[in-house]
Amino acid sequence: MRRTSLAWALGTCLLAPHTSVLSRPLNELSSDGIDLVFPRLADTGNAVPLEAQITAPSGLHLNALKVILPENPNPVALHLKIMGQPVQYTLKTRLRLAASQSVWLVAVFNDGSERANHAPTVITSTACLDDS
Amino acid sequence: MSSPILTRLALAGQVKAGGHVEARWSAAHPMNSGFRVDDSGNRIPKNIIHTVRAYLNDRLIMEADLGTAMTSPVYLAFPVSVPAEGGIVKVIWQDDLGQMGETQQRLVI
Amino acid sequence: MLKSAFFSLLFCGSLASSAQTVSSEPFKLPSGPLNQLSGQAFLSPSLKAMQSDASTNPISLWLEQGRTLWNGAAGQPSCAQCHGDIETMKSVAPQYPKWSDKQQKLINMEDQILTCSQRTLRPLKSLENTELLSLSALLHSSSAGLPFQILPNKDSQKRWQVELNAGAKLFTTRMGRMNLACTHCHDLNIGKTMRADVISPGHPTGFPIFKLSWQSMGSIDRRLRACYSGVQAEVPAPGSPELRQLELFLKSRAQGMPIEGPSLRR
Repeated sequence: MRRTSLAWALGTCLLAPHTSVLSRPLNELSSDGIDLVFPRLADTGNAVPLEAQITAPSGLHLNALKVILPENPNPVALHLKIMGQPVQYTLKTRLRLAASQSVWLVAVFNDGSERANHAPTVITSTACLDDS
Repeated sequence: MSSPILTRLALAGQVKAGGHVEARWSAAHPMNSGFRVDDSGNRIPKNIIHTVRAYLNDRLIMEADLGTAMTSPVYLAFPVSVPAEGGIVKVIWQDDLGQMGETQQRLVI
Repeated sequence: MLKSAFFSLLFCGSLASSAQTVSSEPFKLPSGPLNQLSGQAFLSPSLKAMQSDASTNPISLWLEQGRTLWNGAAGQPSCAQCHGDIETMKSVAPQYPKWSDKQQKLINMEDQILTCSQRTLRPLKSLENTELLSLSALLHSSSAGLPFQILPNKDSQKRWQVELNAGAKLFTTRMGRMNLACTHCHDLNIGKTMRADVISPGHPTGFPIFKLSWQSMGSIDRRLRACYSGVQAEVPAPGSPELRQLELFLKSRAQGMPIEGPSLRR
């Protein structure tokens, strides 16, 4: 009981401003239809390339995407709202990572349902502080 | 800020009516997260591009809220569907200081 | 429940396997003498890919601005008005740094751009100014493939030699809290990993560089100052004579190596 409360307290500190982004625990969401390309070992934490290919479940289309880096000081990297009701979407971007972690990609569909996938990486230099 | 923010928008892929191209947008914004310090040890205040909007023929097709985890330069690639009549893809950005910028590319079938 | 959401995020290590393609290959140096390698060889396949595609290469932004500045927007003064097409300038960058009798010091490409700009209606103010770096990137890009041509002027050969000797001495003098000379890493420990990067011979073929840890473009002046910081030595001010002397020495040491044009570095 105490450990859960501690984790909750830590989690609150880490993510309090972003509680609205998470509707459910990410690991409970299905990862079907989400393919991520993310280096297992990043050259540098300053520019880690991410590619995400999303296919909506049949009958649904994509409304939004969220990119989350739980170990970063500001975990919500990107919140993309999509018009045009696409069934397939490919997003590419580059991210700055504070620490080795998994990137999470959450896909939100037009009926409010969500899917999520993640990919881990190890970095050897943190982006947030070091600019030597 | 005195020097303007350099941006670049490229449309990659075959331009066919009803198909898709990939819009590749980048902006040389400093994207100061607020976590780094300068040579004198003073914290560099936060100033990032917080919103990016993409339009196709003046219709909003994508709106993104960016956080401090986005790199400098920012790089974002996303699909744009090609209408039969072609048109103009426009990307607008806005940062914490209220600065704005706009880049356009023409879709020629 | 919010509680379990945070819990899951914090302890999300042991989860079902995700559909993921591993995109990075392990980084390997080519075989052969390491001291002949340019910094390009020390980039990973992923960074090389980023560099080779104009739409993903951050440097494209500076090159495009360089072209706009060089050719001039309508009605605006431009470099081309005096210097002509950028293609005609390709033999310029390989000659710097040069000894300037007028200024009684070594000047490098960025110094020269700064000086030139002061003769125009839009003088630039600092060596690391975005527009200056854009022009330097453009000039070096036009010289890509040409070897360094570091030679003294006829009338200042002696003075030039003094500067070169000073640069060579700096390269082999221990400095900083770490008490290291440039040669200790860049001649004796090439290929070893340090500070999350791989030690290169330090040939300046890729300047101006886009350094990912800077998240912006920077000149050789800035990079050499970072070297002083790296061995915890007192960092010289931008434009200091020792930085130009080191640059002269490094480019002489790299004599004959081709300029690569503005490049990505970690």
